[in-house]
Amino acid sequence: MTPMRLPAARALLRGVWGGAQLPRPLSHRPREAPAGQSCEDPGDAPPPPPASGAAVPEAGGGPEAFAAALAALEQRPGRRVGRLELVAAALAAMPALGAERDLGSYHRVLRLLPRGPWVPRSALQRMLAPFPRQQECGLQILEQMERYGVVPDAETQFLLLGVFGPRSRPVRKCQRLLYWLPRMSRINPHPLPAPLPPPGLPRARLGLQRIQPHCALTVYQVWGLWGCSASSPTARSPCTRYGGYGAAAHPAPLRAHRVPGMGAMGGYGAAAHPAPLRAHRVPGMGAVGGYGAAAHPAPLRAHRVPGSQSEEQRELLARHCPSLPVYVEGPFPLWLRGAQLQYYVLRGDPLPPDRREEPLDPERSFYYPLYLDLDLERGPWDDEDFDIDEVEEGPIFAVCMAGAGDRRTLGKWLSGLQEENPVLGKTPVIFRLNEGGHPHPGPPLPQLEPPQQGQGNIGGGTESLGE
Amino acid sequence: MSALVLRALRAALPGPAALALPGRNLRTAAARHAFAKELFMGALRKEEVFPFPEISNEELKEMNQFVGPVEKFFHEEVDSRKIDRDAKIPPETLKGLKDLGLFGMQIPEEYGGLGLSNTMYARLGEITSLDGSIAVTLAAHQAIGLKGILIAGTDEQKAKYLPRLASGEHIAAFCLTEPGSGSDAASIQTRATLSEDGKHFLLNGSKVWISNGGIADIFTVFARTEVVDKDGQLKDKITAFIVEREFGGVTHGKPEDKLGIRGSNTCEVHFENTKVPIENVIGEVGGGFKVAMNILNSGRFSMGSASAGMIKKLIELTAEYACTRKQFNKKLSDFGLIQEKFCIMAVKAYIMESMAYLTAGMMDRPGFTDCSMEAAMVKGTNEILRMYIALTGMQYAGKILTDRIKEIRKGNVGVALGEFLNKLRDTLGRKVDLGLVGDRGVVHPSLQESGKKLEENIYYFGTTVKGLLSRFGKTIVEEQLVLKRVADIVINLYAMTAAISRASRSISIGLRNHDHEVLLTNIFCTEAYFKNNYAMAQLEKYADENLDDYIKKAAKHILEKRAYTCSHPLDRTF
Repeated sequence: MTPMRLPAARALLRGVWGGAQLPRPLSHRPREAPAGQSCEDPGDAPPPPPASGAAVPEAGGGPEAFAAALAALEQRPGRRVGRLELVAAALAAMPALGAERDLGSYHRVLRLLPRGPWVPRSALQRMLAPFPRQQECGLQILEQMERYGVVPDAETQFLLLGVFGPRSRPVRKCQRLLYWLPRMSRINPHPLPAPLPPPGLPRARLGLQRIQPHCALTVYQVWGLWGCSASSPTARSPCTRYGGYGAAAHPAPLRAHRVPGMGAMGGYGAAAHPAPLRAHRVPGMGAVGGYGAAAHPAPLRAHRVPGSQSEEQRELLARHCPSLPVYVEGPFPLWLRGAQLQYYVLRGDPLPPDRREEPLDPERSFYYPLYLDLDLERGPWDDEDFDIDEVEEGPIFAVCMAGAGDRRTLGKWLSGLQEENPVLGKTPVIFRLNEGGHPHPGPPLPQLEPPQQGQGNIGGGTESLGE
Repeated sequence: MSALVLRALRAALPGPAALALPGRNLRTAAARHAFAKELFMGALRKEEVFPFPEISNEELKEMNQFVGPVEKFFHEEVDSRKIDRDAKIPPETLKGLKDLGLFGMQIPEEYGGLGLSNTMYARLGEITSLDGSIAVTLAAHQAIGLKGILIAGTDEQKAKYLPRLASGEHIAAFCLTEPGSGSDAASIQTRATLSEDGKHFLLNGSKVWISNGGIADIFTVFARTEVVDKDGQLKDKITAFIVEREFGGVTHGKPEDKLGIRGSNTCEVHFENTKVPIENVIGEVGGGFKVAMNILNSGRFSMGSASAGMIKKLIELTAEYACTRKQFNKKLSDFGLIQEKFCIMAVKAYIMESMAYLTAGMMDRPGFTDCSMEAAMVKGTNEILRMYIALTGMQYAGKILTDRIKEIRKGNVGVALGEFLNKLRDTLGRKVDLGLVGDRGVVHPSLQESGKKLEENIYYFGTTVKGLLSRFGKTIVEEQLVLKRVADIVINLYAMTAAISRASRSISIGLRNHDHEVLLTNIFCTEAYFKNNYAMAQLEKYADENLDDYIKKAAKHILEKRAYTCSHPLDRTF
C-alpha cells in the first residue's frame, strides 16, 4: 500500500495541474517514506483522484496557479489524509510551476499540515525524537526553501510552531535559516539581476559591464541587406554610441561612417543560433552573425556588436607600436549564472622596454618635487608589498561580444574601433579564433596580415581572408 | 594723483638703501638656507628669528603715510556689497586704485612703481584684502602676473612693460593652468612654434581659470617649444612669453562665477596664431619651468597678512553684534562657545600676522635668503603646498643625513660615536635646551613655558624626521599621508616661533596690550604642542597602527565602486 501512495499523489497532481512536466527528484532524501511509519498518519488512504480539471484553472504557472491548485484540493470533500505525500508531491511540483521562489507558496504547503496533533505533549516525548516522519516532512519544505534561497519570515515560524511545537527540529532549522540565508543571499559583492536580461544585446551589455565596469559601452552597428536587390551603392554602418549603463533606451544620434566592400549580409538572431557560426566559410552568402535586431525589418538589418573600451585602454592603444601586430582573440566564455556568453578581446604583446612609460620628467610638477635626490632606500619594515613574481602580460585594448564571432563581424568591430583609435589603421591585426570556445593553448601560429594601404584595411583584410 | 604725492613724499624722506628692490634681484651670494629647513634637523637658528624683525622709524613714518590714504580709500570709496552684487569692480574704483599706485607696489621706482619692500607690501596687502575681489585682482596682476618680467625679464622688457603696468594702464595676467591638471607641466598643450624667419613665435592654445583674463592687456604665458637639448635631440620644453593683447588672436571666454570674490575676473583665454616676437621670451627659450617655479614661490607670502587683515575686520564686525544681541536674558558674548570663537579668531589673526611679517622681514634682509619654504608656510593650508614644504625640508635633511652615513661608512669613527652618544642620551631622556629660554635665552621669561614647549617639539621633530628618512628613504615622496603630518608640524613650529618672537619683542619694548599678546601666544603654543606631539606619535607608528592603511583601504574601495556603498540604515535583509 505504502509504495503506491506517492505515485497516486503524483497522479493526482498531474491531473490537477494539467499535465505539467514531472519534476526531477530534488534532493538526496528519499521521497518515499520508509514503510511501517505511516500508521501515525490520521488517515491511510489517498484521496480519490479528482474529475480531471474540473475546478482547476488552466495551468498558467506561477504562484497563483499553485495556490489555485491547492485551493481546489481543499474544496474536495472527504477526509484529509495522506498529507505527507501531498506535501512531497507539492514540493516536487513547485519548480515546474515556477512557484519555487515564492514564500507564500511554501506557507500554503505548510498550511496543508495539521496544527496540533504532531506537537509533543511532554518534555519526555520531546526528548525521544517524536513524529520523525512528520518532522522530516517539515524539514524537507525548509530544505527546498534553503535551496532556492527563500528566506523564511515570522509567519513561517508561526506555522511551524503550530504544527511541530517549540524547539522541534523544523523550528530550529527555520531559526538557522533565518540566521544564515539573509547573510548568504547578500554575500556576493557583484550580484546579478534576479532575472537575467533577455538574451542578445541587453545580456551582452551586462556581460561587458562585468568585465569592464565603469566603462562606456559602444554598440557598433553593422548594417546588412537581405538579398542584393535592394542594395544601395554605399552601404553604411552607423555607429551608435551609448553612454554608460542602461542607456539602451536613449540612443545617441547616429554617426555614419563608410565601410568599404560590404557585401550582402544576413543576420541571425542570437537566440536562435547561440553557437558561433563560422559564417565566412559559407561561400557566396557572406553572412554576418551578430545580435540580430528585431526592431529593423528585413531586408535592412542591423547587427549590433557591443564593445567597450576605456579611456586608459585607448591611451595604451595609442602608445602601441604600429609595427607590432595586435591580436583578436576568442571566443572566451563568460558565465552569467546559467547563461554562457562569449567575448573577444583585442590585445597586444607586452610593449618593448623603450616604449613603456618613460620616467617622469623632473620638470613636471610646478609646486612640489616629484623625486628626492637621496641615496636612502626604503627600509624593510615599511615594505608592505607582497613578494610577487610578475608575469609579463600584454595590454588588452578592447573587449566585445560578437554573438557569432566570425571575422567579418569582428572586422566591423575593428573598423568601428578605428574611428577612435586611428593607430589601428596602421597596425596589422591577427585573428586567433577557434571553434570550441577556448583560446589557443600555446603560442599561436603567426598569421601576420600586412598592413594594407588606404582606408579600411581591416575590413578589407578580413574580408579577403574570409573568402 | 595721490600716487604722485606719495612718490614726492617718499623721495623727500630718506630711506635706507636696503629697501630698494632692484639690488636684491642681483643674487651674488649663494642662497642661505633659512630657518625652516633647519627645523627638519631638529635645530633652531635663533639668530634668524630673534629678535622679531623691525623697521626703522623713518620707514614706519613713511609707511603710515602710504597706509593712511589707502585705508581711507577702502573705507570710503570701495563698496564691497556692490562689487559682489554686480560681479564687477566699478571703473572709478579701479581708477582710484591705480591713482594710489597699488598696481605697482613692488615695481621699482625707476620703472614708475612704488618700490615697496616685502614688509610694506604685506602691510598694504592687509588693507587691500578688505575687499576680496580687489585683493584677487591686484594679486593676479602683480604677485604673479608681472612677476615674471620683474624676476627674470631683461632690462628692455622691464623698460618697455613695467611703467605702464605700474601705473595700472595695463593689467597683467598669469596664464599657466590648462585643462587637465593644474600642477602638472605635462598638461600644458599650448604650443609656440618659431616662424620661418626666426623672429616670431606663433602661439596656439587655451588657458583656463585665468584671473584678470578678461581685462588684462599683458599676459605671462607658458607654452611648449621645441628645444634642442644637451644630447642633440629635439625636446619639448616650456618657455615663458610676454604676450600683449595687441598681438592679435587673443580671445577670452565668459567670466566664471565664484563665491566671495565675484568681482574679480576669471575666465578662459584662447590664443590663436598669436605672433609673439622672440624678444618677448622671459628668461631663455626652454627655461619656462624655472621661471614659473620662481614666480609661484615668490608670490605667496602676502597671503598671510591679507587673511590676517580680513580676520581683524571680521572680529570688529562680529564682536559688535555679539555684545549687543541678547538671548535667554544673556548677551551672546556671555556664552562660552561664542567666547571660544572669538579667541580662535584672535589667535589665528595673531599667528598669521606674526608669520607674515617675520617672513617679510627675513626676505627684506640684505643678501639673498631662500625663503620660499617660509612663504609657503605662511600661505599654509593647501595640500600641494604642504607637499612642497615637507619635501623641501626632507630633501635638505636627507642630504645631511646621507652625508653622515657616508662618513660613517668611510670609517669616520668620530661621527659614528657622536651619533651613538646622541641616541643614548635620547633613550636616557634628555633635557632639550636649544638656548631659547633660561639665563641666556632670547625669550622673555613670561613666555618661558611656551618656549620650552617649542624647544622640545623642535628637537623631537628632528628625531622624527631622521626616523622617517631611515624608514622610507627616497620613497617618502609617495607617502603623502606622512608628508602631510610633517608639513603640519613644521607649520605649527614656525607659527609658534613667530608668535613667541613677536610677543617677546612686544613685552620687551612695552607695546600696548602686550599681555594680551602673551596670552594669545600661550594659548596657541599649548594647543600646537599637543597637536604636534600627537602627529609625531602617529609618525613613529607603522602604517597599520596609525590608520594610514585603513584610510587607504577605505578610499580604495570607494574609488573602485565609484560610490558610497554602505546600505541604507533602514534597509532590511528579512
